[in-house]
Amino acid sequence: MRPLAALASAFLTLTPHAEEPPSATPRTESGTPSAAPADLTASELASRGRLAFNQQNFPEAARLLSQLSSDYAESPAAAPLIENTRPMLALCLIKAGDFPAALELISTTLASPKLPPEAREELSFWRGICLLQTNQPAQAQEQFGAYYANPRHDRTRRFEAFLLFASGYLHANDPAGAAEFLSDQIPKLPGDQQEVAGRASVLLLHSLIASQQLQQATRLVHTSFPSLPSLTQIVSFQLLTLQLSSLLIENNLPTEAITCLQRLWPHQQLLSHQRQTLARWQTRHAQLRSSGPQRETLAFQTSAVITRIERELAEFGKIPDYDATRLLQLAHAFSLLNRWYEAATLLDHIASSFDPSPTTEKASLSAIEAWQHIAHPHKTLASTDRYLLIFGEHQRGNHIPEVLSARAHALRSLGQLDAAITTFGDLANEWPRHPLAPPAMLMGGISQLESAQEPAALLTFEALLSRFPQHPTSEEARFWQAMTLSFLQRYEETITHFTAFLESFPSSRYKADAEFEIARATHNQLLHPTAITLLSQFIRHHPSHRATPDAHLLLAESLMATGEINKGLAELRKTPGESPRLHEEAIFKTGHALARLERWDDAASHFAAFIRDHPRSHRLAEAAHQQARAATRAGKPDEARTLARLTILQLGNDPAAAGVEDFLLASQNLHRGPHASRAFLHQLARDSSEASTKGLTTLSLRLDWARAHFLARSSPHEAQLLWFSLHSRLVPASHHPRIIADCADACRSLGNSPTATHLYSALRQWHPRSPERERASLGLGLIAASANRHDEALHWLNLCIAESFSGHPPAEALLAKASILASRQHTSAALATLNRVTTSPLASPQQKCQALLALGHLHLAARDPTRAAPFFQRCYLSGAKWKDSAADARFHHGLCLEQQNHPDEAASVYRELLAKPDLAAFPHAAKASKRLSSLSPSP
Amino acid sequence: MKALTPLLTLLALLATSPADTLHLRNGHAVPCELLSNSPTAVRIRYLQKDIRSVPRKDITRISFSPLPGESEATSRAISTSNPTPLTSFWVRRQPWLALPDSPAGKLGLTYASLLASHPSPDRLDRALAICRQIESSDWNPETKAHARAGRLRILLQKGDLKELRSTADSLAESAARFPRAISEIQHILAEAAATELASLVSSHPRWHLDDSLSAQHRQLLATATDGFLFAHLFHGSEEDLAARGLWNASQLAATHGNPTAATAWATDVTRFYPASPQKSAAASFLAKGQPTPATPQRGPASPPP
Repeated sequence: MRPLAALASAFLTLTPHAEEPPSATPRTESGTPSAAPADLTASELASRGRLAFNQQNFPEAARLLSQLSSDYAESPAAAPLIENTRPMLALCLIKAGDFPAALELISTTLASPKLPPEAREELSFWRGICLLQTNQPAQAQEQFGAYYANPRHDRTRRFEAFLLFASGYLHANDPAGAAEFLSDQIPKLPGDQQEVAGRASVLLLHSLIASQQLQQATRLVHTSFPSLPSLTQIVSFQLLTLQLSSLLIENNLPTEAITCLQRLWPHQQLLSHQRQTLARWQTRHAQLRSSGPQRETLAFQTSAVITRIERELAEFGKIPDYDATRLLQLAHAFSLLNRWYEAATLLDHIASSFDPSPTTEKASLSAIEAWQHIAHPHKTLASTDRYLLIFGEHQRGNHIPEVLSARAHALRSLGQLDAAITTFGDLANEWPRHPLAPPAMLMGGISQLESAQEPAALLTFEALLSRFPQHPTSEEARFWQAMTLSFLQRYEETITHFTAFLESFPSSRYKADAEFEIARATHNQLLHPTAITLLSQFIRHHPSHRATPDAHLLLAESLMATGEINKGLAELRKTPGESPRLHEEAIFKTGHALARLERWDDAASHFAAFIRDHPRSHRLAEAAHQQARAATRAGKPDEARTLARLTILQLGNDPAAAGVEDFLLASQNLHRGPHASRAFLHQLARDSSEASTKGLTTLSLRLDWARAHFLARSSPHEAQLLWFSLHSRLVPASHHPRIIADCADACRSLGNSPTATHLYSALRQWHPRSPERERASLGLGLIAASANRHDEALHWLNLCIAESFSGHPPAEALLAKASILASRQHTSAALATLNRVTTSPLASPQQKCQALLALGHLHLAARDPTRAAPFFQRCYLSGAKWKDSAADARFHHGLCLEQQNHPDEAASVYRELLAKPDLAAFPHAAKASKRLSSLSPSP
Repeated sequence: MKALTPLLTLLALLATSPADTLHLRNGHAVPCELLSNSPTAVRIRYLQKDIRSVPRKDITRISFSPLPGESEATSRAISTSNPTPLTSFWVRRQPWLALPDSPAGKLGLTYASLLASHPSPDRLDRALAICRQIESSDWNPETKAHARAGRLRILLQKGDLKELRSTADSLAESAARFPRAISEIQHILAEAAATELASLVSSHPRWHLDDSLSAQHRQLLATATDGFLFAHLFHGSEEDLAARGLWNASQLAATHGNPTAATAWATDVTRFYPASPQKSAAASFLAKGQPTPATPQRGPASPPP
């Protein structure tokens, strides 16, 4: 900030330009004194001196007039000439910067009673200037004060004297005095002196800053802001404001600093404003000049204003980093207020808007730090991208490792683990000696673990330990190395590594975890007696550790595995209820233990109690299954069915009972055989009707939905109608997404696209994480495709493919997408999509057959019968049971062979097609017949 | 009565006496009434009678004065929020848009903003057409920038977010030199993002469970927040725009579950913009200590300058 502050001070024109000695004619000479003959008369010296003065050749004028004073000092005849030209000589001396000599001469001249009033006025003003310049501020103020107080003096000059009086305080190193004087006087200035008032405000701001009256200066900036555009020295005012902001930040007054910084115009706006102001003044000046000599004074005054503005513009144009400095200060002030979002946004702007420099690099780094500080990984990522784009090329930036580290952490926070792993790796490999390399390797390994790349993680941890064996990260690295072995189920090595870890780091923060992992690995190796000891020890030593509930479960398993069933059951009861997952697991293990003991009644009651106590558990179906199994094994199958039915009737109307749908579908297993199945369907229908009558709509809906599922194999159409009928009773916000998807699919296949679209959309809206959203996307895509809205269809189909839960996109989506791509002549993309169907493990044989047929047609359309033929052949060989496809494939295989000039083979294919009575009804059979005739014309 | 008629006519002529001025290259200033212009000449009525054609090459500049009744009509239109009084003046001013110092653009912007303040499809279309015309023809780049902002606001009012988004970046770039215009454009984009965000949340109540919707939500929230904060951060001297944006950012944060930011930004409204109309709302929000249901403030903070 120092250069700016200095510049701002330089802008304060304490000696206004208006007070340069006036001239009657434009300057015509170079201004250097010429050699003059020594024998000039007094009159000649006076007249030549005056001429030089009028031509603004002040050195020459000074030489001639000085010669007149010295050569003819004793001549009474020359005395009037000398006296008359003394004011001119004084002004020449001022112009030459010889203020002491000028002051002496002016004082002598003013003492003369014959001095004309105009010259007296002129010289008394300049005497003040000389006093100021010769460091006599008190006398200068006295002079200017007297000048200002005399109303007979030139009005314009009186206000210049006012400003110079104020600047006298500054010359006397009394900025507080100047501030006090100006604060008092500015409001009293006449209304027509706005330009002077503006300059006085600049002087006041400077004085307040210089006297450290920062609050008052802030107030001045605030109150002056509305009239800022009218200030002719606006640039000076704004630069002083910037200087003030810097001081406010230094004094930990960020709010005041922001108040000031917000009142700074951008560089461009300031320049543009001043240029317009300059143009306005120049126009006015030209008008005044053209108005004749009577407006000369005003013209002279405007000329001074123009000079001041031009000077400001010239200086301001030389400041390249004004905007960057302004925004940096603003960011700094916001950060002092803990407004990190604002600070980071400003710093990002600096980094992206200004030419690369150490300042912008620093801003970019600070932005990254600020975004990290407030945990905005997206913004961190964007900022690091920007840094690497600007400073990463050719590795110009000095902080690429730090930025890569920030980037990798942001990627990890966003779950973009592969990219995070790559970035951590880049950092560790390209800056192996950088302090961030070991942590990067560690985090890279942990990210690999998080993305289930255990073998890679193991290599990373091993590499870290071998490269930096003594680094502080080695503790974590060794822990995670052992954990990786545990994930890889290499239990023996796990135990070895954790044991070594505990020996090396006996007071590690991972001590308890390591002990638990050793016990777990021992349990997993089926070394139950040892596991019992280790787990018991762990529970005793770490009763409140987060792994303790797991330890209870494992201990129970080990105890039961060694025949200590009751002890195991007792251990299971110790599993705390705070962890629902473990608590449920303990209950199931207890039930299994009871079953193992063949205490079937107890097991059935145990699971019945679970169903009663956990109606919203996702393991409801599993519990019901275990309950029914136990009842059956107890020789009470009817009781099992009754229990299941009662459970459904009891829980089925609660939409939040999430396991009911699975339970319903699983309950079919209790009704094996045609008779039992039929009876079950009737029972479901009766229960649904009864529930509906009672207003138990969700129960009724679920029962009908389940009934449709049980009907689907034997009466698919009836099932479709039943699902379709559910749509008016469905509440997508609360009902199970599977019911919505089944109902929507039924609506679509029965041609009710609007309802289907509504249900699919509602499914995505209310169940965005359910597996059924994939079906919703597919349904929406197929509806759009059938309506020829191909862009929309591609959007949904691509979404379906991308969101596929199994990792294998639905073949139906791929086939539909390929069809659209083919219709748009995007053959390569269509071929690639169809190939995915042929290799998909989830595609049905019929779908693969369709894909092969489509592949053949695409190659044939591309006039490539050689490639098309095998696809047609594979289609009819592998999919003979889908007769329309088989007929199509056989006929087109024949065509391919014809086009390859194999007429005999083609005829053979046609004959095979015609020989199949089940294909005779298809139009391809008739076409094949015609082709066969043309290949073997009758004689 | 007959004798009075010529006198009244004369008085009327005098009362509506035009005071436009042609400044000619020869240094003369010609008071006249501007009639029409073409690429090569300007037709004027001189001394209230002679109609003359002055070649454009002879003119250095034109000083436009208000048309008879124009100032009153503008005041009336603004005070009653009724664009009708300005219709005829816009029709007369419009051909002069491209001429330096022409006030047509500013009049057009006022007219368009009044048309859009009582929106109907027809009025919005007319306002949009006016903004487009100013954007393409006005002599003043700043007025053009304000016309761009006006166009974006009308697109937002029409709900045409697609076109709004497609043109926003180029418009923002072209208006970057003009603090008020760029602040307004950023605010409009923020409003658009906030509108989309509200729509996303209402149509996908469980957006947070969906990765793609979460990403969309995050993006929209960031766009809206950054847009609302733009004037406060980069053009704080435009106090009305800065206070409006900061308050909207606060309310956006409150609506979308970030009470800490909402409180911080409401505090900053009271701290940095104590004279703004938003200050009392912010103070009452802070006094309650909990988010109040609010929608982003629509419309410009003040008419374009």
